[in-house]
Amino acid sequence: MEVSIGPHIRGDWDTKRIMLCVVLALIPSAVAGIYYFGYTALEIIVLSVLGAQITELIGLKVLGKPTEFDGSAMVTGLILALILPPSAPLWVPIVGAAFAMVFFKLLFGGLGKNIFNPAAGGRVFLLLSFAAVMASFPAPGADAVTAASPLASTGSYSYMDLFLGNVSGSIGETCKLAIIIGGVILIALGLIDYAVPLVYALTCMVIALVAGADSLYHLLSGGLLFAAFFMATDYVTTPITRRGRVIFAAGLGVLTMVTRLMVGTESISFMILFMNGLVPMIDRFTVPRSFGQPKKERRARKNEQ
Amino acid sequence: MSSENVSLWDEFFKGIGRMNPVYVLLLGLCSSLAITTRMENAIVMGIGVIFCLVCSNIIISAIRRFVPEDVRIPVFISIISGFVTLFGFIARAYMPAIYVALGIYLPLITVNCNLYGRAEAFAQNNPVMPTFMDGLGIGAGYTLAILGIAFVREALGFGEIMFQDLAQFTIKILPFQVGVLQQPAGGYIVMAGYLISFTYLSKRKERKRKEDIAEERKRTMENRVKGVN
Repeated sequence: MEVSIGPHIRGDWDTKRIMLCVVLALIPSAVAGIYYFGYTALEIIVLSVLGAQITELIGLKVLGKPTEFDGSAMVTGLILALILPPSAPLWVPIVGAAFAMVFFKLLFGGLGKNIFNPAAGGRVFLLLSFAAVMASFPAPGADAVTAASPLASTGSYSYMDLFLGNVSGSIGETCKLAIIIGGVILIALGLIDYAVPLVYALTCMVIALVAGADSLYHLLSGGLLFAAFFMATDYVTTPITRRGRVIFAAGLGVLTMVTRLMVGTESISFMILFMNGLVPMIDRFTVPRSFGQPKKERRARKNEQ
Repeated sequence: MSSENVSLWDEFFKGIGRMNPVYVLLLGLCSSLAITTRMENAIVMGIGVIFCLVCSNIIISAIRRFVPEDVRIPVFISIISGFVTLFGFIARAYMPAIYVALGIYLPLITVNCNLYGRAEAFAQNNPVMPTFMDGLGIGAGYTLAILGIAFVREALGFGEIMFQDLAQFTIKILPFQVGVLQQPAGGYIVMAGYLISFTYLSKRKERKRKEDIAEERKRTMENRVKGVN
């Protein structure tokens, strides 16, 4: 059965407008990345966006589908660029964006039918294939100095540096201020559910607290906030109901912290893909109560059996 | 004689194309994903499957009239596993490195769907000669299929084709490695690519054949109408 919550009336927000708003919300992170990591970050962003856009155009032509610009490929390319390390060679964003579009979107049937987040898929592909170039992070402002990312050397950065992004890391993931600005734009426009980033962040902080780690440090390091605002809230690959989305975010938080604390590395993209795979199941168990159906009917029926 | 020859060759070639075990029948996928990281492993695995398939097919076909219906499965399995064990010993004696690389997948040829499938679907109902050709064809089809996967995975995944045991040479193909293809996920991706192209081509062929038939029918109808007039 198809799950879809009402009302089903279409508003004047079409895909293109929503996607352009998401691009707008991603711009602060992109600008921060370019500010800290310089010209190469800009090149990576441009190449990734172009790669995704051109691949989608060619793919849609080959599949014989309408090739109208809807901005979704642009968002995928932009998100992918922002979770790449700034030192990546210039072929990395092109290959990653093309792979993400072909294998994680077009082959599933295009926009709205991809069960996995294409940007996360592209990054996972790059990470598994070209581990050497994907695992070296330069220090901000320097070209040749590789620095340990905050997660690899816990406690060596101040909260302020982490918050403003003056640390090594992926292009768009370091500056938490810019991410939060973008996230607030999306929430203010009503495009994403504030519950998702909130539950995700709280889950992570609580687990860090219980495990005796510095929860604020964990919140502000790595790609946690970026994933919370821009990847865990993707329309296509996350649950439909709010209850489902909360489960999704909490599961993501648990997986993120478990890998951070037990494995020692971060792999939020893997976890996003993993939770994407669970979405159909979550959707099935969070079918909303139909209007008029008594609240306890289901439980009562269960007791009878 | 000639007509018999044609049908025997048909038994052989159907295993490679029309009834390819991996891409059309979708049998034996587990081993085709697992051992296709290197061409060399795929070749030895292919030889093993051809050997076990042909030998067990011949025996099963030869004794098909004496095996009671009720106990055919244990009989088939013991014959197949006998040959698999034999091949395992040969591989262990003469190709120890590959024997280690193939690991559990060599003994698991016993439960490879291709072998049991051919025994059940073909060998137990057909005389020895067609069964022999059928086994050879299916085995060759399986070998070509896994060689295709292994070639892509080794050439792109390692950037080179390397033989160490059967022969000793290395061909450099790419200056870089696409590491994901060395891993199980890469096996799925490559196999999916082959499956998509195989299905696409066979669908197109099918469509063309139907169009040809329709065309032919139309023409005969027209001729008939003309003849009546």
